[in-house]
Amino acid sequence: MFDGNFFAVLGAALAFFLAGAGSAKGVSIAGEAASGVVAEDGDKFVSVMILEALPSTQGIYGFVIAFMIMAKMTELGSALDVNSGVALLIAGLPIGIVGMFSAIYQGRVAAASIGIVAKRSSDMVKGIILTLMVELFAIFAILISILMIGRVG
Amino acid sequence: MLPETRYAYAVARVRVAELNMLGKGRIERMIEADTAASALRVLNEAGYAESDDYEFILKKAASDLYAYMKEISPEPGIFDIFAYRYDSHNIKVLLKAEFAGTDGEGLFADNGVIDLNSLALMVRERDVRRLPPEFASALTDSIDAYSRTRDPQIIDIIMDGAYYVLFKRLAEAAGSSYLSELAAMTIDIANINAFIRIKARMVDLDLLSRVLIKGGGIPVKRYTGSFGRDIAGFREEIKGSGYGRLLDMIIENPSGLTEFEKACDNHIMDYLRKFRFRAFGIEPLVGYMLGKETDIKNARIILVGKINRINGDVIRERLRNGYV
Repeated sequence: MFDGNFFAVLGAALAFFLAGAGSAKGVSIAGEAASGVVAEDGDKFVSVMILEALPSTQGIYGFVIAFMIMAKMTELGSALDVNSGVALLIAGLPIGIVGMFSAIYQGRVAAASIGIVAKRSSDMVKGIILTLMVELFAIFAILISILMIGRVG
Repeated sequence: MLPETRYAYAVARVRVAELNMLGKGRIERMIEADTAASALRVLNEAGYAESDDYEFILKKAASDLYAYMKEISPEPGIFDIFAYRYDSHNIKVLLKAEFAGTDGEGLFADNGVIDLNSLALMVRERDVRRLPPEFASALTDSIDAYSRTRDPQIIDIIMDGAYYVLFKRLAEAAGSSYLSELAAMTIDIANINAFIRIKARMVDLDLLSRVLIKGGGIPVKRYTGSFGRDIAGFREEIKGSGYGRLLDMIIENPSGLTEFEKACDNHIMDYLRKFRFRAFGIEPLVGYMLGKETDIKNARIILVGKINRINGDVIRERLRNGYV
């Protein structure tokens, strides 16, 4: 049962599952703040929506890595050896774990930045920049995951 | 307490609502207004009801405030901690009215937790079972103390003390260190006020120990122990508690009780303002609510001043610091 394919699929699952769950949590935190602003002032919908969407990128990165791991499995053929399988599992972890935490924390910054928009719509860009600071680490994580997948096989 | 991120929605709403608070700009425009009517227009712009009757506008703003806080908060019950103050006030009015043989009409506050009619019934029937325990025993104590002293002020002292104790207990039960600290600070300030007033009138130590409320950051025995010394000695006794600056005011100007009271309110406001920019948690909500109450208080001072044609600088001196 514990052959290479098992570990590789597990890696793909973790990459998406962790990053996706983190994004869901991050977007929900930001979304609650966004709906609070819209409840008071409907004109601010567009600016808070952009901020709310920012923590969703980690889920997309997880999706990309899960896809790449599975593509790699196809490339390496059906009988994947255990070493390659474990290597693909480990390659999925950076975006899985870093993606999950960075999405949740980014959601908190996004919610706080929505507070800036609540005060002044014109300061939306400042809020976006502050929120994107957290994104950097998710980008590093997906790059490392991609590099690691490239070294397998 | 719920996890603080559950407050994201409410905090965002308060963030927008803060735009309608009375900042320095609006306050100045109200003071500089030629007539009370044009000062009222500033209030209308800030989302207050439209009417010529300023009492109506301010009362409506105060009662809308509690409904609003309860509507947006994920834990509406927390705000009862503050609303019980009005129940304590209503019990006082009911008791005094009963003893004076009047009906107290027009003196009641409508933001209490307990419905006013049932509260009136409970007080009349002396049925304290459904009251919070602090109020239940305070009600009995007030009736007892009044029948001995015939001094209605004793009711105020007992009921105020009961509210503070209730505030502290509920704040601690809520498991929020912020609320507990706020409660302790409120008690400390009430105690320091009592200490200074009773000392100034050179009344006996007995009264002081009856008025002092337990649960503040400064233990009660610090006050009673310093009763024989002067205010500077008391300041030395409570060194490091953060109230030194307030006491300095009284030491420099022993008759400036009005200024001192204002400084006490500002001291609590400074604490609330420290948490204003939190993105989560109950802190910005409590800050908004108490800040809005200060706004209403300030608006009343300005409008009364305008109606009585009081000089702008005199009005300014009386105003409390605002939240925004």
